[in-house]
Amino acid sequence: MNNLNVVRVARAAFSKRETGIIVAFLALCLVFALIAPGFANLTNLLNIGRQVAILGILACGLGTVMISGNIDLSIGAIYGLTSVLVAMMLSAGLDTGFAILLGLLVGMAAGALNGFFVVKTGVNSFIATFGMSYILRGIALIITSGYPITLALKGVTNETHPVFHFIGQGYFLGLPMQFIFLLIVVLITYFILHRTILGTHIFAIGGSERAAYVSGVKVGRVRMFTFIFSGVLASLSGILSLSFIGSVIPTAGTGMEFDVFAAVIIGGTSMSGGIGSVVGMMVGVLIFGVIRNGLVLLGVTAFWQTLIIGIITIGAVVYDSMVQRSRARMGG
Amino acid sequence: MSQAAVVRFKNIGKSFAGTRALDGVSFEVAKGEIHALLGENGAGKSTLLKILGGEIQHYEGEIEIEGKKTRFGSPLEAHSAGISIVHQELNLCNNLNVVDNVFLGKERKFKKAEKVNMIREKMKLLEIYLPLNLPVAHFSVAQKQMIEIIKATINEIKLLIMDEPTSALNSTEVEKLFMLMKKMKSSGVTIMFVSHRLEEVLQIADRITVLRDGKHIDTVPAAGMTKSKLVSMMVGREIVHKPRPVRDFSKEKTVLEVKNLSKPPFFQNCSFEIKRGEIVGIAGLEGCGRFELVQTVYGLQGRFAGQILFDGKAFHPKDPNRSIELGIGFIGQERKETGILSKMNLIANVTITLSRNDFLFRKKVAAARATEILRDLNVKYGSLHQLITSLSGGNQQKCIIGRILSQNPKLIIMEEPTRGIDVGSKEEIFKIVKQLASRGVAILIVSSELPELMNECDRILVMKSGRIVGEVFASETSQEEIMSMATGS
Repeated sequence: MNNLNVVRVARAAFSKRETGIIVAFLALCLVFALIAPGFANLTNLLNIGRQVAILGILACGLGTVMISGNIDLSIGAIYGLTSVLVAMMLSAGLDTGFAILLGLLVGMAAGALNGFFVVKTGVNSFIATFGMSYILRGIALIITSGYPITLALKGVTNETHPVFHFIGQGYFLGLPMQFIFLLIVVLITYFILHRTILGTHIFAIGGSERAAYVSGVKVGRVRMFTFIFSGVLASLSGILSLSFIGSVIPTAGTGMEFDVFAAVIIGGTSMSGGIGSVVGMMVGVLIFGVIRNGLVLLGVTAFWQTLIIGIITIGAVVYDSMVQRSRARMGG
Repeated sequence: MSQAAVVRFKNIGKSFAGTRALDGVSFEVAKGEIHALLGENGAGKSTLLKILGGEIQHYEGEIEIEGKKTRFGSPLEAHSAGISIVHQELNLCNNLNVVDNVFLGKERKFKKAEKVNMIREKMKLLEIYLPLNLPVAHFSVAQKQMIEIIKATINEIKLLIMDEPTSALNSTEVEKLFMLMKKMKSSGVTIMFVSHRLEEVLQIADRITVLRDGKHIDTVPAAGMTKSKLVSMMVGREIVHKPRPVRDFSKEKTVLEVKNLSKPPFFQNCSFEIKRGEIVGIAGLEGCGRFELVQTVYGLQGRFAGQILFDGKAFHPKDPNRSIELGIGFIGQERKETGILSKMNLIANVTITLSRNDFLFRKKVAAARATEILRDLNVKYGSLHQLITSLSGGNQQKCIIGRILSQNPKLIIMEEPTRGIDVGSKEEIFKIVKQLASRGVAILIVSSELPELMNECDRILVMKSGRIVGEVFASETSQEEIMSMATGS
């Protein structure tokens, strides 16, 4: 009897989509803890938390879009353009709060445009957001004439803008501010996806758009929300990164969408929509962070990270489809 | 005639998930004839053609082609044995031209000039003249069909099978097609085709085979047949006709009134009304426009001409959400496409409409509501968190009914409410429908199963070619009457 219960509990645990990836993550941590000196201490773990913050915030946005059955390839460009614009606004003497607000509006506007093209004209989201990324990068290059902006050279220093400095570099209750932002975004995303009807609708249109529409779901509005959400989070990431680095190049964030994409896919989000979870996405993001950090501690070159991320991405998807297939065979 | 049979079916049987699609079907198709296959929706015509064309490999019985026992493992094998199918849905690549389409998959066997010559010859023989270099997207449906016929007959073939070749054609195009069929016949090709239009069948066919409920009813010469004889052969089954007791709805409030609704080419000038508590059915053959008509009322078809009154007020359906607000529920015929949320659990599936304007997803409240709905409809399930796809078809359908009932609709539109559902669940679903009607809900059912409409509805509208051609009380009609209205005989 007892045995049966154990089996049932184990099966229930393993039937959760995220279980496999969590186990893999813990194994990875264990390996690094054993072989990488300095991996398993609080300072280093907090460091990882800060390092993955931007990737994690972007993943919340892209993951939401992907669950709804679309993709957003413009997040890297929104991130870059926002950084550039906020840097210019601060250099021009704009108030910190105002600059940040306008920065977030950039993402909101770009997201709304993405949503408009996908919802109103029926353009494939891959193409709409891909095109959008070129437009935004073009704008960033045009307005900077291709030159980087360094805040300190423009008179924006830690002394003149303490608040702006704090959001990217500061610590609160012993935690890096970037990590705190990540936590807040994760909580908000979790709340939206798993605790609101809007979240239910995001999953519903990702899995069965037509059926959801027939059942009264306002498909266009939901899609619009996902793109705006993703855009705003991309802008937030751009602002945090500017604050942390203190300078920005006009091509900042190029290719970043693919790192985020990999993390979201590793986290078990379905390419075709309708399936995914915030927990899974964050584990995907953490795997990224842990590998990067662990390999650095081991003295392995950064080139290996790239290769290993590729292997893990494919491995995660293969594992997932194997689980699906065996589940289909069992008839569950 | 038996020695000259091109195809001989011997005791063909086939079951799908427990239902008998074909049962002991035996008949012959003689060499050089045009042989029509008739039957109601679901009589087994398509299944038989799919078996002959090699698309279905597992079946009972035997097929002889020119006296030789044959069992095709794939459509390709059937094709190389000289059997070609032109499907109802045309299978051309719109971006390719005529030559590339005709030789798709056998490009390497011929040089370009050879290909063009072969097509030219074929076209001369059949008196078709089409430019060969245009992408086929530029051609009309009728022209595409001719290209399909050229494609199917470009090699020497023995038998050409056509599934509802006339369903998308207008009368002049049908004339042309028939000329073409006669020419092919005179060049020695045997033709087997399915049609719902009886007058056409009588006009073109040499012999007619009627199937009903998967059984072979008879194979008769077309000469001397009449439409009414064919209709009675098609529906002839003894069904227990126990219609609902006659009720006078004239004093009841009108829930839905449709005036001169048109949406060419699907339907024209359709007018009807439904009273509180009334169950109205719409009968008609495939392609008669009945689905488009009811989908227009629910707001799934977009623009239309005419007027719709709901609850006495003018109503211009635009999207499902507004229709739901007003009190209309809809169950589509494609349960996988328009019904279930296939990647979601029972809670989401049952409460999606009910909770669509809420802000928070409250798990416990949603679970309690779902439990209640599922219990009311007697759905058999294990856990609220199981995927809806793990339920049987009947239970899935009940979930969708439950989703709609949570809105207390005044009108429910159902398309093929019992398609792919076992007998027991069918009965349960109609029990639910009758209970709803007795509570004053108006119900509009589109169904291809005549017995179902006759036993469950108060009134039946009959559609043909986009028009409502008849209206009968279920208690005073017969299947023959409805079928002859639907086929125009």
